[in-house]
Amino acid sequence: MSAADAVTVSIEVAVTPAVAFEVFTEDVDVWWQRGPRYRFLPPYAGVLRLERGVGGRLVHLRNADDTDPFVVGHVQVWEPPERLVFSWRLPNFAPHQTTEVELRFEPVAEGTRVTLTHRGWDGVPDAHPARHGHVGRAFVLFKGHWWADVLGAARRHAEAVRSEVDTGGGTS
Amino acid sequence: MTTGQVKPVPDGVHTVIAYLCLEGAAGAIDFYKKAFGATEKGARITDSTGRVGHAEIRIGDSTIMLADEHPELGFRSPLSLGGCPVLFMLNVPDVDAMVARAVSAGGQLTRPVENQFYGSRTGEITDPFGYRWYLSTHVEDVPEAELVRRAAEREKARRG
Repeated sequence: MSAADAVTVSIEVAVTPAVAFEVFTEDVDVWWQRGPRYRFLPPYAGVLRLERGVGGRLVHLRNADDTDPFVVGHVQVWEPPERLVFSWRLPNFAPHQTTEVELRFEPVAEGTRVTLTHRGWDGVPDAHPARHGHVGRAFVLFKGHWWADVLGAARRHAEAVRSEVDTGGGTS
Repeated sequence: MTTGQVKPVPDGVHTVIAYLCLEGAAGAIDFYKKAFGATEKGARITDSTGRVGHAEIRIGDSTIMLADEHPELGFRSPLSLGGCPVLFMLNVPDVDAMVARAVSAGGQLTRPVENQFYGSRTGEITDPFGYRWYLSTHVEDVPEAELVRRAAEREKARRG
């Protein structure tokens, strides 16, 4: 395995692991950024959904009525509030190409340390468009900063939800 | 090139940010937390071997970025270069307390804590990763004339 097979990104979120796990999974469409940098297929909006439990799918629906959504991957481990693993394929992956994403939620003094590891990149050739020209350390930083942006969006949402609960506010 | 709607320098981002190259960045983050009360801010990015590609900490009101060294890219740490030409000023409320804390965390006291003629109380710690930190607390407002007098006296004492 090369040093750039797996990219790990770790952040702290000021909510409990139970809240973090719930918000990261259930609210994925709310917090996951829109646009071509973050979503999978045109028009880069649509609906992202993570189906709960082992075997559940992470899907990107082009719109609410999409009956043939793009399947990013399938849940392999579902252990709330500690651990979640799902497979991960991009639309431009060949049929035999796949990667895996693992999320761990550990309690820390300030809330939860969320650690995401995206592994299996050794199986994606250097010239593959998913790499955007990056290999080795440059790819680790490229992918790492992308996941840092995505997790940062999840954190902002989780902490906003938490403060709504704390103050008894919210609209729903 | 900038595009509309974005701030070229986002709010809260200082003009100059130090980016430290380290041998053992994860251990260094732990040290800066214990020694200087750093908090880890932002995301930490690591590769399959645990090598830190990027991390951010905050000490007081300042952000410091850091990563493990990557000699293949010419990014080398003080330990691997065998010295460090950079010294960081760390302005703290209680230099004695923080120097003691840094020493108990594993820092080496390379200049003892003492009052300086210009009104600061200072000491220097060299951290286990080769960086030097000059800690300072402002203890006295020294008027200009007094500053000149003390400097002259100091110079005289130095010449014997």
